[in-house]
Amino acid sequence: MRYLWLRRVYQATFLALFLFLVGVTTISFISGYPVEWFLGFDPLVAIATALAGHTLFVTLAWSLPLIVLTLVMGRFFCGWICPMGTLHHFFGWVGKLRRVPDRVKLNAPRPAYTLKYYLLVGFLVAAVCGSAQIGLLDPIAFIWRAFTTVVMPAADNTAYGVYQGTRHFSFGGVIAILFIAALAMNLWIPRLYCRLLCPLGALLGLLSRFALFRLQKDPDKCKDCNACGADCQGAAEPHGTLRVSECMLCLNCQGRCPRDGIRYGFLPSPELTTDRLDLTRRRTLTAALGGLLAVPLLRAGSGSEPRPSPLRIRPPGALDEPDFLARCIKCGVCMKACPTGGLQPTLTEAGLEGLWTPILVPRLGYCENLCVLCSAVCPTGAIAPLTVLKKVGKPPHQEPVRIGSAFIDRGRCLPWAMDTACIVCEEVCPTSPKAVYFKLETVVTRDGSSKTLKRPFVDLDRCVGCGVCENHCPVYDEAAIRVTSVGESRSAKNRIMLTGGRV
Amino acid sequence: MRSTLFALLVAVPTALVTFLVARGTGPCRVDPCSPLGATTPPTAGAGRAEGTPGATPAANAAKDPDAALKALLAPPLAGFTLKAEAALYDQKGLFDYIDGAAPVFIERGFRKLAALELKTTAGGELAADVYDMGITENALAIFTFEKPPAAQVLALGDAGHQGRLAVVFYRGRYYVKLTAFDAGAEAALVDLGRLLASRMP
Amino acid sequence: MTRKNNPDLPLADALQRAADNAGKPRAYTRREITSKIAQTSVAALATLGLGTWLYDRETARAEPLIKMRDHRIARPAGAVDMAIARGPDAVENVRKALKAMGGLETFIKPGERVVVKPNVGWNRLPEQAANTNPELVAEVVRQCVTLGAKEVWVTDVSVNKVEQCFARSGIEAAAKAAGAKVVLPGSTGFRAVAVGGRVLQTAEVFWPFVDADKIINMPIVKHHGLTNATMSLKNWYGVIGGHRVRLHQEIDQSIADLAAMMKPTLTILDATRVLLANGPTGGSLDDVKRFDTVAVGVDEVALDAFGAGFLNRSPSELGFLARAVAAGIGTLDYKSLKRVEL
Repeated sequence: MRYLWLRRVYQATFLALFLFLVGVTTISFISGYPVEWFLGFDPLVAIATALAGHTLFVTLAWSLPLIVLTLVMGRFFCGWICPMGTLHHFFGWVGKLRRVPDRVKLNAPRPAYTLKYYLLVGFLVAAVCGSAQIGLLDPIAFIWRAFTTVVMPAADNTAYGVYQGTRHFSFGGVIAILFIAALAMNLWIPRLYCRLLCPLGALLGLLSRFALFRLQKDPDKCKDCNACGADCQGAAEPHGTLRVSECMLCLNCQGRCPRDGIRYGFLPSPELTTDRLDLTRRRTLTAALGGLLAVPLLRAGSGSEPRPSPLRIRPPGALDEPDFLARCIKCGVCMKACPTGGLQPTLTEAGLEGLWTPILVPRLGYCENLCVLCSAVCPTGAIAPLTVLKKVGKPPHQEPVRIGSAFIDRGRCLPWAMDTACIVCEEVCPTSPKAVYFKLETVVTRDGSSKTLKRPFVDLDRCVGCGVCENHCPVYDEAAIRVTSVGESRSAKNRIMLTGGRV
Repeated sequence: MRSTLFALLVAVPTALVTFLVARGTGPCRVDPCSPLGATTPPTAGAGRAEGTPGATPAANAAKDPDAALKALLAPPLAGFTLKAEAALYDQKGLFDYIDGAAPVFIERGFRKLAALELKTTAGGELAADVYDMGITENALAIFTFEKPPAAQVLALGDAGHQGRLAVVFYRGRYYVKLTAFDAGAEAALVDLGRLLASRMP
Repeated sequence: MTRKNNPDLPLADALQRAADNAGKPRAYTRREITSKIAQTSVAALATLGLGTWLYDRETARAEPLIKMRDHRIARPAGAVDMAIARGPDAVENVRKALKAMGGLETFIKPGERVVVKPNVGWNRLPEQAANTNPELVAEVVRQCVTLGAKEVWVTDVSVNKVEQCFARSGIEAAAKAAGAKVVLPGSTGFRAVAVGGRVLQTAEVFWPFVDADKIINMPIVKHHGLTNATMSLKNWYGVIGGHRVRLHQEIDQSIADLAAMMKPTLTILDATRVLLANGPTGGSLDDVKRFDTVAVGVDEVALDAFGAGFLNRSPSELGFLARAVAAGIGTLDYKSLKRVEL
């Protein structure tokens, strides 16, 4: 029983750690906290981005000990550590049925639970094709995205101070609905997400087939009461032949057994546990084919390369688009960290493949000139590590990192269209010398008098596309100076000027 | 055996969580935190021995930042005479010198200030404040923070600007503000700036 | 369930043990356990090994820039630098000129991979003189093949649709018939190359130009709206991909930068038909005049200075030539070179 309690303490501790790390992911509190640690610890993110991007980013090295431990001990991560799993566990407990035989039936294996393995195969094949779509269902990326875009802003509406000011995330409602649905599924079948969909669970399940330590029942003590199956989180059949790949080591079976007939130990009898997965070759190949076809299909729509949306302004340090999409798992840690709230999940701006990847929406928040926080917290290196000197292009670096270019809309600009003085865009421009500059022009106003105005221009050799001008432009709805992605340093194609090439 | 296992199961995550949380009090993730939060420069060399005589300030800055800072302002400064030896201010002392402006500097990693009053050979009076910000990023941060939007750009140090009776620039880890007290000394500001910048690594 | 073994009653003992274990799951054998531990260890070591191998602190790795090779050959003292052949038969002209230069065999060795770079920029017929004369291309390819070149690639990064350009210009058919491989550029196959020029720092160069052992530039002389003339130097615009329209911001210096990067083995300038106006696309046969001339040489600047004459231009009027001279690519004074006119 004390191990059962230990498991509960683990779950509470790691959920609290997760919430704490999410909470401190703001410029004011981050100091040295490794806020993206859970994602670094996630072997699925490591494997998928290594398949797509061909290297293992430093943060993801945390996943190596977890893989090794799983190979030896089984799928303990799901039952003991995973914050998303803990939430599912909790909501499964909320919706628990009263009668034990009903629960036994509900927590028995179903053929449908093999779906997660097929999903895993499909996603990994997509990763080999260069697309990190795994982030759509990976539980850590899923919960991070939901907390960034939905839970924290919602908490902020009720208790001010979670963010530095209230945040809004584009179409956060879609993410909210999916998150609520994933949790609500537990009210029907406990841990349905983990059993049916979770590709990380599937990966850990595959690894746990190597496990040297397993749960086993003692046939001498067993009187076939079936109580062990009443609360089995993984639907792993502890009463029959335990399915190692489904077992989350939650120890509910141990706690439930009236005769203390279940123990965890070194390689029990081959007849008491099984490594079998019940996958068929035909379905596995279909899943692989699905992953193979998904990538070109996702890329076929508009918004994809080679003609991206002009609004696809990536955070500074982001890799060139194909490399970026090979690594970005849409977890939203960068969006949570962004001090201005300008980093937003895409909907269509980066094509279907880039759904929920980060872009800068300058009207909501600009890119702070001396800030490199998004690159510091990115768990996969999709936003490559930057230093401030590198970002602003001070020695030893030659060129600043540009994320786009600003253009003046002369039809909306006060000095251009309304003969009214305004200097805001120039005032806030952070580069030195400023990218926005004035030319003095004398104009004849409507009443015939003449007036000298400072009319703004943009020097594209200086502009880094930070968007602070667009953000502060007094034309409230659509700014009179706007940034688009052209001129971004990371791309060799998406450029205007001949000089100032790649950095 | 079983209690060892239990102890291990308690100890390992405790150590892990402690390690992760302790990282929060360690050096800042973001290098520098200075634009929006404080950090300490990686080169805390207080109390170290004097730098090797004859070595350049550049070589000494990491080993003995105070000596390097003093060496920057050491006579002879061609064309200028010192009214007194440079006064050094640390984080606490900074309040005595610039009062309410001090937190802005300290938040950006301010380490030490060397303040100096000089005279030109023509008799004009001016003051030189050299802020050692520890690392270049911090010097850049305070430079960017203090720069007026309409400042007239001056090619001095890594970046500089010029205003009435004032020249400001930064080079490497040093942020320098030069002030003239009369119009006669104003012309000498840029000369002094170039002289100081030439001594900086 | 342990019993003391009774050595006197082995059979009874065995029977008793069997009865004890009836209905009980069998334990792993020593062999199975060893194998299981071995599997797990191998998997764990493989994980750690792969992890170490793939470990990466900096995902933003600048693609290593390739440096273009120098494709020129050392020429003996007193060798002819430039040969100009005139006559009604274009193929005969190029044969004569090549022979005067010492024969193509002095430039191409057996087993080499040669890229022949005509101007195939436009969806135009040979008569419209927007692309290099296909007969000349075919003749050069044939000679390369005869000399035992391992590969002869004919390629150009066209401005119009590539397939149409190569078909309409007649170059695809002519080159293939002569034994070349026609390489049509698509959206891939470009390599990042260090240019290190004054405005162009890097360029995306199409792979045959990077891989080839020898490069033969085969431009056509024609009018160009932006640069007044396009000949040997401007022809290098067709080796790069990417967003190359940007080059028009500083076209003269860009041409000089590209020309400094490319060091061809040989240049064959086609002035059989010359487009005198409305270049580089042309279209009207009224703008085309026959000069029936082919010039072969190793100094591209000198060839362009010579070619400018067909367009009634003085070399000093062409900005890119001045920049090329400044970059030390060649000389404008082609008359000072060792030259043969046939």
